[in-house]
Amino acid sequence: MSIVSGSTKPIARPPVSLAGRRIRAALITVIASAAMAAVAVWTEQRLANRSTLTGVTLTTTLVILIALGIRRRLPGIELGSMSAWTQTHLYTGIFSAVVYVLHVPAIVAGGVLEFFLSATFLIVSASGFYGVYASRSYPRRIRLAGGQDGDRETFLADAKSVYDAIPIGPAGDVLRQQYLNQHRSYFENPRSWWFAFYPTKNRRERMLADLAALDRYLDPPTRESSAAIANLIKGRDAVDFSAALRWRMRVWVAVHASLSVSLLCATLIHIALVWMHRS
Amino acid sequence: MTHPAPFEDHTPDRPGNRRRAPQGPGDQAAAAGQSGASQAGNIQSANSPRSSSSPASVLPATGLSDADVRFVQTRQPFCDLDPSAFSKNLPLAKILQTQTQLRRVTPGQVLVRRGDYGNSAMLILAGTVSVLNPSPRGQSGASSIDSLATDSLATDSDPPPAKRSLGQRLRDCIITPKHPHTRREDQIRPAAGGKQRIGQTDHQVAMFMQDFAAVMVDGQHAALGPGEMFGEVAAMYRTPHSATVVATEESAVLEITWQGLRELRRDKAFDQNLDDHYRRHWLPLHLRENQLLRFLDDQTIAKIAAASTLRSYGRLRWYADYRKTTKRSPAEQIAEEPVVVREGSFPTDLLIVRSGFGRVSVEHGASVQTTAYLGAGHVFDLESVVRNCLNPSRPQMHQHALRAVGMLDVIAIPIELFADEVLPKIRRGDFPPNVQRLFPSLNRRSSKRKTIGKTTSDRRANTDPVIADAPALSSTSLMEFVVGNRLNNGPAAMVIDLDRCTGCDDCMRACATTHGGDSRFKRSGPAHGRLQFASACMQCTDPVCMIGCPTGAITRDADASDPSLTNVVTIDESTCIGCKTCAGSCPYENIDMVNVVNQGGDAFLDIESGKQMLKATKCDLCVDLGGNPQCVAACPHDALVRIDLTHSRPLDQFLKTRIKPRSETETGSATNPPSPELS
Repeated sequence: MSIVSGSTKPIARPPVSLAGRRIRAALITVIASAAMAAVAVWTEQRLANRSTLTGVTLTTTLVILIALGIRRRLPGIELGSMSAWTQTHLYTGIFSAVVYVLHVPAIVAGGVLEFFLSATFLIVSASGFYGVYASRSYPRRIRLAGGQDGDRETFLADAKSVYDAIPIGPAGDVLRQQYLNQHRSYFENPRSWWFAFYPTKNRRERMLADLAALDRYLDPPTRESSAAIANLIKGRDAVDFSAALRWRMRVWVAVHASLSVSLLCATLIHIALVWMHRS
Repeated sequence: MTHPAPFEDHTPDRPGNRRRAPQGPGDQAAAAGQSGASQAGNIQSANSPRSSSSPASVLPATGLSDADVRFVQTRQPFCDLDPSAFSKNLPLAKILQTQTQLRRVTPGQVLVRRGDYGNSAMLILAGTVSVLNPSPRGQSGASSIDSLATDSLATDSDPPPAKRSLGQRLRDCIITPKHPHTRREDQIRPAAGGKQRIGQTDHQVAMFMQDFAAVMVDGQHAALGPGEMFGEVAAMYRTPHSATVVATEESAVLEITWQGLRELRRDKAFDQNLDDHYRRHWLPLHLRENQLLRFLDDQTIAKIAAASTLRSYGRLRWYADYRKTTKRSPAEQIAEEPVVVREGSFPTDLLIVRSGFGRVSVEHGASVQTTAYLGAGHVFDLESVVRNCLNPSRPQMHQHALRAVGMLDVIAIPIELFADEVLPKIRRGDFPPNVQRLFPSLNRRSSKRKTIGKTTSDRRANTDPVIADAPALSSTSLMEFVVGNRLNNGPAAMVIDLDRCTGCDDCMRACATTHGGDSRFKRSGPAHGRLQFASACMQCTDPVCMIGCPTGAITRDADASDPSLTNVVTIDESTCIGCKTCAGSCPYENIDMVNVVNQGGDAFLDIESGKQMLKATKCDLCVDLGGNPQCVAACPHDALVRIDLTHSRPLDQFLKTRIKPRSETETGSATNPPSPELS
């Protein structure tokens, strides 16, 4: 209860326990899946066509799943929060997997269209599960790496200023040479595309090890510069790591969305063919 | 009953001791129109609210001449001031020379506007001005208007923006501007039918009332003449002006900065006069705003007002050294904060925070640990005060210390008066649980009441204390981070859970889509553990950005008497002259200055100056979309929320929904002693 005079009216909903929400949604999904399975079995026992029921349900769930992308592009329109839509998307996706199992005679169907359809569905489903994993685990990894706010240009500028401040003398020459040989390209260039797919600490560890090995050739003032360069290497690696994980998530969204649209198109063709050959 | 002490000022601000901060309106106004060369290509000129190198500022650029000072010293009230009351280093003449400004005002010119914040008072030297639209309870800066009725008074500010239609919203989603900061001409030019227009008087930007003659005929108003002062309460106590004051005829006014006012209060009679005025007209209003005192009758309120004191601690211009202060460690910050109440001292008064921020702390090891923070409306250590009222034979000392963070104004009600007049009239159920426990009979009744009611939520609604207890955050380091960065100023702070934010930027895209292509916030800012406090306007309880706007373009949709208003601070781009005063004042750097262009990408130029137009933009909490912030609605992962940080409870509740007990160490958790904070 806000009693501060001049305070803003309550604008946020009361905070919802995420764990509690997860349990509730999972329970609803399980009940819905069980009900769907029971109805499907009951339909079959009455010698009716189970595929019609599950097919219509599956198509409906697909439309609901695709609708998330439409809602995302319509901010400002009172259609509910994206968070609620995402939760609906997530659990509808799980429900659709159950309905798919009830619908198909085999998990991977034969025939060109049916194979494409089932393969796309399975890939999209797997991609969805990967998305849940990524969106829940990557942010934490990014935060722990500490690179969420940095950018390459800042590190490059800092590295140049550290390089310029390396003390004059034989020890400084050693460190400067090392910087020119190894570190300059690291700070000046973006990481390889492979790093975005599979970020590792190999290069960072190699450079830090080389820098540590150089330590015995340096005098105390130069060691300070060396330590500053080591910190910059770590910081830049954290930024690259964060950028890689975010890029991976963006690629996943694009792939998932494209495959979902393909799936919907293939589904429509499938429905048209079923309609044409319904007798 | 203790005898009320006069106004107590513990603030270190003294003119002459401190240089004028660079963020002052005069400085910022000088930058108006200096937005650089226009963009290449075609340029569109427009009639705009004119910027000036010297808008109506609160601090004089040059000060009064010796002749002016001699003239002013012959006028009331300066002719009655005792010269010996002022120090030799800063005599009256020097105060007048450095802290005042002579201004000529013309008929229809708005001197102060209701709801705006100011940091200067106005003294009429010649001519008359009219006070329009006094506050509903008849409170105003001028006693002569107290008897005015309210129903026939016209509102002085433009109505809040109308809710956008569905068609407009759809169009915003589909048609994205090709260029950033695109505006239509009608968005940056004052509307022809508006209630005020921007003009100039003696090369200074000034607001004029559009239908001034009609208002003077139809509306009720009170006239103020030579020797009368207005706006001093708003200047000294950081409150919005309660009424609009318009010049009725060509007049001369002396604008006195709040620093100047404080110096002038060295004269006992002048100080007593201001104090009496505040005590008579404003203190009852401020007391009534507190939930603790809301059931008291007028007579009791008047008694309390007569016996209470208002104490000020810290710096009114806390935002001037905000950046420097926030870089210090918590220990260094605490060491510099003025102590309001010492730990272990005997409670003699009930302290109610009127404005500003307070840090509640206890000695912990070799240092001091923050246990809670206080904001406007909070009460310090109510438990000890009530305990001592109920058991005067076994008094309890203050278990915590109170320090001023930046600035802190507290109303001190003598404990004897509280025991006699206030405590018996407060419903016991209104107290927070820690105070309720002090009343044994109430505990028995409460346990019976708990069985009545249909649902848990019903029972909670029935038993929730009106004076809600706001426990300290479970994490000490997070609390010190919030206080240290003055984030407790924000009732609508944008908080991002970094453990759920994927960096998809849907929040920024939604903001840009609904604001003509401009995102009104940055997804960056100070972070503590998994929480990031993003750079978005928090709609501060102490809106320093609203001080000194020369055209009144920045306004708050608020009125203590109307709870339906949103309290959101908005900027009217049509009257914004791009002087950067608000952007320079905002300590959190949450106001951006943008060069506006038309839909073809051509820059808008001011016809008068030929320079590119600058406009101030900030988060408006999507007021024209029903006050539903689209950044929050667009976040698919529940990472972004708006939280009222003026209380510790909402943030604590938010954290509890996310952090499992075992991982509380992530936010630097430490066991806190019980907090005396009440809200």
